[in-house]
Amino acid sequence: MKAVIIGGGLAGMTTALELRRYGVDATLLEASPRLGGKAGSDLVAGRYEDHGYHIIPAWYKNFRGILAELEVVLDDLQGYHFLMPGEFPKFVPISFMQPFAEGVIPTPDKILCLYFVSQMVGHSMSRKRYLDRLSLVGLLRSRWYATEPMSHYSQDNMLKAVAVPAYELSAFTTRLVGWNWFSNPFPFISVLRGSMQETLIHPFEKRLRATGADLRLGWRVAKIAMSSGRVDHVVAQSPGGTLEKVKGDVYVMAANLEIARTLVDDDVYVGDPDLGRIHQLHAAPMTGLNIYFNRKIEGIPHDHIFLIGGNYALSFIDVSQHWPGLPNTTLSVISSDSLPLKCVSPDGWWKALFGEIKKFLPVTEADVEHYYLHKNVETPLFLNTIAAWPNRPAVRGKIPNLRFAGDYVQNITDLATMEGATCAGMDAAVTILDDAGVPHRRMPSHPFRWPRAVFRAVEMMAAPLVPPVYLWSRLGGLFK
Amino acid sequence: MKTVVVVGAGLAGLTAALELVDKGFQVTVIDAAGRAGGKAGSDRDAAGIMRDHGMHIFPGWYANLRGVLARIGVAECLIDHDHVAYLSRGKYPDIRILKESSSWRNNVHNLLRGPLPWYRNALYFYFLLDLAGQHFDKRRFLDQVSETGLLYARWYRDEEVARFCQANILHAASVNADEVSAMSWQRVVRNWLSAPSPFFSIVRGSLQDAIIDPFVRVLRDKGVAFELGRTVTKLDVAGGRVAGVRWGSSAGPGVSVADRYVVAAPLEVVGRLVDDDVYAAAPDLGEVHRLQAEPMSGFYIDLADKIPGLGSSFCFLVGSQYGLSIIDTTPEAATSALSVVVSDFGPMRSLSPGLIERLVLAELREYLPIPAASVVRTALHDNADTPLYINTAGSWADRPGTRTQIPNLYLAGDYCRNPTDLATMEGAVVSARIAARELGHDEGVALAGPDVPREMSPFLLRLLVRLSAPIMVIPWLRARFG
Repeated sequence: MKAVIIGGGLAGMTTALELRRYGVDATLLEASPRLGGKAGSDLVAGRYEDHGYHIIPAWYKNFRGILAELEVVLDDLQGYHFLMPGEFPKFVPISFMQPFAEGVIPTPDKILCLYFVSQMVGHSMSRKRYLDRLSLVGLLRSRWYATEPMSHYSQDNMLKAVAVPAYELSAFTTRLVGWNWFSNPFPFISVLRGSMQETLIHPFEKRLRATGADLRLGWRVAKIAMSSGRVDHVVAQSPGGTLEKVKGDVYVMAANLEIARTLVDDDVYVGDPDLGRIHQLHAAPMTGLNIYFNRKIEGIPHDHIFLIGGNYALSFIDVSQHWPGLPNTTLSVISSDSLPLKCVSPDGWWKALFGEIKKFLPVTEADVEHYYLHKNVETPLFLNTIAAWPNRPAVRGKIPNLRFAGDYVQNITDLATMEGATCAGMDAAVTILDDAGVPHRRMPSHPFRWPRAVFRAVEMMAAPLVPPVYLWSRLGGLFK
Repeated sequence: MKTVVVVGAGLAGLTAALELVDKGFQVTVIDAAGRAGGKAGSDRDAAGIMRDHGMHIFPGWYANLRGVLARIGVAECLIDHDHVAYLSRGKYPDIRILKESSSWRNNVHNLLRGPLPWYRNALYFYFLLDLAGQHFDKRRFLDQVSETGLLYARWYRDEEVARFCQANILHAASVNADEVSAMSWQRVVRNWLSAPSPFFSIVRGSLQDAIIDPFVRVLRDKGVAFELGRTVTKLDVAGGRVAGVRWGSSAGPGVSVADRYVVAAPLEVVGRLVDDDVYAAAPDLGEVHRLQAEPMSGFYIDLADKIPGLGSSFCFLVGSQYGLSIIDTTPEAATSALSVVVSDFGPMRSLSPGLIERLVLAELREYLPIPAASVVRTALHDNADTPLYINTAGSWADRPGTRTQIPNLYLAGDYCRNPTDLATMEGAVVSARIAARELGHDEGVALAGPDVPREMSPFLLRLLVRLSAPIMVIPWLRARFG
């Protein structure tokens, strides 16, 4: 049995690892000269530049399993902070430890938000029902106690986290994420202690090579060649520039959404018309901006920071507080919403983003030693929009020897994340191992989740409080 | 005499040119294509027959577009229709009819013999009235809700009614009910309630022959200059104003200069023009990149036989994978010429034209008796490069106004904020009339601006919905418990 894996991101690497663990041959074709994809970093002028910072919540159970296996060390963070323009150094902490802390929105609306989350998780929703094709705002609006500040709060939280506005974000997905997070609150998130490439991808690659995986870098797959309803071979451009046929028994499409889309041609579509729906999925870039300052900026918490109220939905982590060997402040910034800059030059892009940062932090261009902008326009992230699920490819579709892996593929995590990529990669490996009759462990595993009844019980107990709190919110609004 | 350059000779550009030339402006219209009309025009297929971009319908409430047609003397090109038809897979010739709600008789028909069982028809119409009466605030974040999202929050919600809404909206506007802004759809429902008749009209012949070419002739007679085949590449900005429009053509590049500029190009083209200079002067224009657009494709099949029972009905194929709707464009002839709208072209986006035609034809055969030997010729307008703006929930805030932050630059097009809201030919015309009025205002010339339709009072609608709620419990119970 030999598997050909297209794409060397987290999903493809996970599939390769799990297949090699159980003795199945794996050949991995990666178009770029390095592994890792969006979970890796590019070596630019001697620095490893991440695509953007990556957070690892406690509920990333399967991804954390791989990190543990590779002995990757993490730094734990207990929450995040909101920062309003001009209010530095007053950061508003948001965490499970201080759910009612002052700031951002009035306290009664915050309490209602918590109530809404418990009701949302306890709520029954179905992926088959058309009526449940609902956005987070749609679900919130259907509650009698919904207030305008609640919707702004959910937008502030979700846009930065997943780059999808709350009125487009699937309520079903949000419910799963809320369920996972409230069931596994500690640590709130963790981060790596260095660049993705050095701390994660390099050890991962070393492990893969040690298990005998055939890793081919610089091989760009140009076509999936079909023959009588099955994949016969893939055509790939080798690093030498020649077109080569690569043959296997089973093929795993683990490339990102945009690449997978281009490979759904006439023959593949006829083999599995469901794959056409891949074009209906939305993706948008999350722009990474790494800023190396020439001094230490005091007063920045070591947590995850959301900048509230700007144009480009900025958030950052001061990685110099987590990575060894960085004496000066180094911000890994993500813009979850930089589409308006799409046709602007990189310089204009930097000016716009740094111009916004200056409204929040006491910095000027003179403080910047160096910056690196990852527009990521060519590598957008899949967005969990309202009705995305039925359009996402299944791990195993109608073509018997083709599998899909990647965070956009249907998987138990649902939300497009590193955990989603890991789960889909494991799913693909499981279907191949099952077909080959190889016994294997159960994977991927669900994170711990409190039964929904627990959330319903909390909701019922808190229900009598909701009318007075709602009144408090409405009257408070009147007196302002 | 003040000069104006209009970029884009679609319906919006032509309307802006008409308004401005009538007030004495010297107008030049530039377009990348070799013909005027844009998405409202037609091209010759391989057999030399004029084919529209896709079937276009003209509801009775397209007051401004109908006004323009009268002004250019082609109002009689429209044929009125008083119903739409629904055909389910394998149910031919059982075609269900939804009539225009212009009389009690029609409403009773729609309720009892409409596309759904009576109790679901009742819930559907009740929802439309409820939607029309809703109080929405465009600034409220909580009101950024889709049509499905609004239905979800109603006590009488019903799964089958939700799917029926989806079918109607997808076929009519190429957007899914779970994505379309409830505010935009409310506007559509209110319009149709205020002007129920004619339900809609279609054009006799191709849009190019019936509307666009006469439109261009009228404009040329009035002195408008047309420069076709010029692709605009850049807006020159100097001192915060547009200094010129750069274009390329087969004869080489050039610049057009005027006092004021109206960009009436489609969304994708405007997005490309927002470079460093334009963004610095008008950062709001960057928001257009957030707007979504989807292709709606046109497919034409000429048959050697007649498909009986279709008549002249505009027919939605219910449950179709590609969102197909059809109309026989030659109802009186002995043979059928089908115009097919592919509202859900997405799944076929990366396929070759030959395969797309085969797939669409195969799906049509699941609904209608079309023998292979009967197909004389087919033509496909996939429109993959000319998508339509879709009114997604929350998109109003990202849509540009017709007036921009650059004082001598105006926008026109159905994606611009305008009272019609929904992306339609009417929206294109209305936005152009607003842009022209604003341009005129800045030059001290008074222009009329768009006609705003009279509407039913939302208060009365709300009262009606509240008062009839107890009666609606009956159909709701029937739908709920069978």
